[in-house]
Amino acid sequence: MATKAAFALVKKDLTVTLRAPLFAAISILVPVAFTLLYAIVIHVSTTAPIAIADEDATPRSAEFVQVMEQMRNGDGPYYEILTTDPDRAREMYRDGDAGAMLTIPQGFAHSSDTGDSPAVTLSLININADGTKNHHLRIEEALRQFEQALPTTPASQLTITETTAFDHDIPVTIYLGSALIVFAALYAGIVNVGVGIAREWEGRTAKGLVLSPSGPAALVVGKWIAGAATSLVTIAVTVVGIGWVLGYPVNLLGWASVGVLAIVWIYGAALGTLLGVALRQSLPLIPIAVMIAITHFLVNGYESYIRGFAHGGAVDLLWSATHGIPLAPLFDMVRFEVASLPQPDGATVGVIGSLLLATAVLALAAWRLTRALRFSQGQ
Amino acid sequence: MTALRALAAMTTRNLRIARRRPELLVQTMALPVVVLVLASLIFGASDSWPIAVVDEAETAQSRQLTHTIDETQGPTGHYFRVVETDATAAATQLLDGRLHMTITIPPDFDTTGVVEVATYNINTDAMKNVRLRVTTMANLFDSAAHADQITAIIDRAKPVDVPRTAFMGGSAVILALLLGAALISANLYAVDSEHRTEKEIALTPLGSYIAGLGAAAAGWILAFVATVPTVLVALAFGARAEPDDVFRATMIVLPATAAAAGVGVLVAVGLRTHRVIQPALILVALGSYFASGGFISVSALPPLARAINAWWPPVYVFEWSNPVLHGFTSSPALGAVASLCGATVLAVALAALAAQRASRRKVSHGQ
Repeated sequence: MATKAAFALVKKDLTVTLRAPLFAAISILVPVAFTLLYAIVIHVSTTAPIAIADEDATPRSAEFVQVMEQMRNGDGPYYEILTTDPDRAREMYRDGDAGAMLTIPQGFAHSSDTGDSPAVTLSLININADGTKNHHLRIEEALRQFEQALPTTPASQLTITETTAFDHDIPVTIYLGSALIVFAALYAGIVNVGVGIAREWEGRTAKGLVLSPSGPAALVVGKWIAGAATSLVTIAVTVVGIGWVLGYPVNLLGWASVGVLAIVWIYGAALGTLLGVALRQSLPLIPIAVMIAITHFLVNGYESYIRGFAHGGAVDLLWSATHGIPLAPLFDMVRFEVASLPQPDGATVGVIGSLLLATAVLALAAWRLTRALRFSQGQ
Repeated sequence: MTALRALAAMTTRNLRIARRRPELLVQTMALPVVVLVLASLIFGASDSWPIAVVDEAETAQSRQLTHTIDETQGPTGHYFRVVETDATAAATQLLDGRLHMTITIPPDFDTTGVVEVATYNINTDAMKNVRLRVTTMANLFDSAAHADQITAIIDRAKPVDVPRTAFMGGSAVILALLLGAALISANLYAVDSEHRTEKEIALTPLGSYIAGLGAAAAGWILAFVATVPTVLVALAFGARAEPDDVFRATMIVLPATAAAAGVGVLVAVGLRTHRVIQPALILVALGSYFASGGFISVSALPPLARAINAWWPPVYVFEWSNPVLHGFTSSPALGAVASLCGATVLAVALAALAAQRASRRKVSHGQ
């Protein structure tokens, strides 16, 4: 009987969705919009726009510009050179269209060829220290590459060799694109299930459902199935959007990633169930759901990145907090699969831990649902 | 006069609703604070990367190198922080991802000049930062023997950089104002829809436009209250501004907040219920913070982001107010202020018009 009741509830919810599709459309489009907005700035850490005032205008200064143009990593070029015309560069810098301007002065070629301490000037609108640091590090690399190609430069005293923990670096598009897809699954789970449950209280139909002979389990199961239908569309549209904006290799998402998204959705649905039965209104539920999803995205989603920084201070405390919620390895599982790397250490702990945590949250929600059968607003 | 009295009554009533339902304010207070705290801790951590340096040579030259590593710095401070020097512990921490890099100076360093770097290459962004820092260190080391090498003179617009956390903090305050005005206005307007008081307002002699204006006015006022926690957190993370700069920035922020309140009512008229209004406003606002000049200036964004932002209104609020707030521009351009005032009038007028038109639609919930 409970199964029949659950499916009746699913049918009712889907009918409501068909008749008033606005909420379903918003549930799908809004997380997609957030992920795409975040995705379009991912390359900000790779490519720095710069205007170059090449006042020397010699083959040697052109070589220096060429070195800058060719500097890149797997994600793209290190520089986006907006212009090399001195007047245009100064105009762009003055108007704030370029936050950085490199001036290659007249006589640069002569000084370079004679080894007479040439210097370039890097002008920066230092409204954000991160930009200052990014430009300084890049110009150091450009200077080194250019100088070492000059015949007058003595050989460097250092030879640097590198070994890496993994076969290759994970591209940042995969690293963050994967996190955004996991975020979409988590957000969809929390909001779709949570609002679905709260809506029964807002529509004054909760009493009948909770007190029916089928029991509250039918309510939860029905909401999970109905929520899963909308969530599947959200996740699918997010994956396609990330693939389009970031060139994310969607075809490399395998069964491990599918499993992770399912587990994360279950965890989100459990949280949504708890929020739904505890708050019983979508007004406070949605901001809390957004905060939970964003916090998981920024903290668990970046865990393997911030782990290396967590040596004292507040960031150490933040990293320690990720131990209590074992979702971080799940984010890495998707990344490692898409990047064609062996699954990370801790994957099993992440899977089992997340499922156990979801079960605990769901049990808490069930307890909360049956503990006090109070109905307001005339219910 | 009657309309003004009605507007005042509607605004007062909305302020009372907000006082009785503190969740209306708390949620708007919490979101920017959470985002600011997390973003500051994760992205605003020190530029000094914790690394391990293992000196297996222990010669004068190797000590010179370790000294160079310690001294490697840029305009924003030191680039490395050595937290481990034991080879075994360093290797373990690197494999666990507790360190992004270890630098080992092998015993034969004096003769070969080889330095062994091991990286936990979790992503290209982290590795780019690690490798460029190593290059900076190598340049510094070589400069001791080759003083005539090419250099870059850093010419900054202001003597001291605005710390990243301070920039994010200033932007978070703007976010809190815009999101607060839009969300509170929208939620207050939706209270009538959800609590079935639309009909009463529609049947008053003045009509429903007063409801739209009243929600916008109350949302605009309450946005400043909701921003207080964000201001305090921003101050805690190092955001500072001269009183004159704050005053001049308000010429941008005040009309922008009013325009946001008008937009909030417009959204509420279209979407009607809290469960639809809130995710739309909240996630788009947070996305705008990260992608439209709140997190980093638009001129530093990738081409696609710059192209999209040319058409996205919130970006102008961040881009016009941040330089004023941090003292990079003496005052906002007249055209910017005029544009925002125009946008405010338009948003509020459209909100009133939409609310008035909404009274003609079918009212459900048994009203």
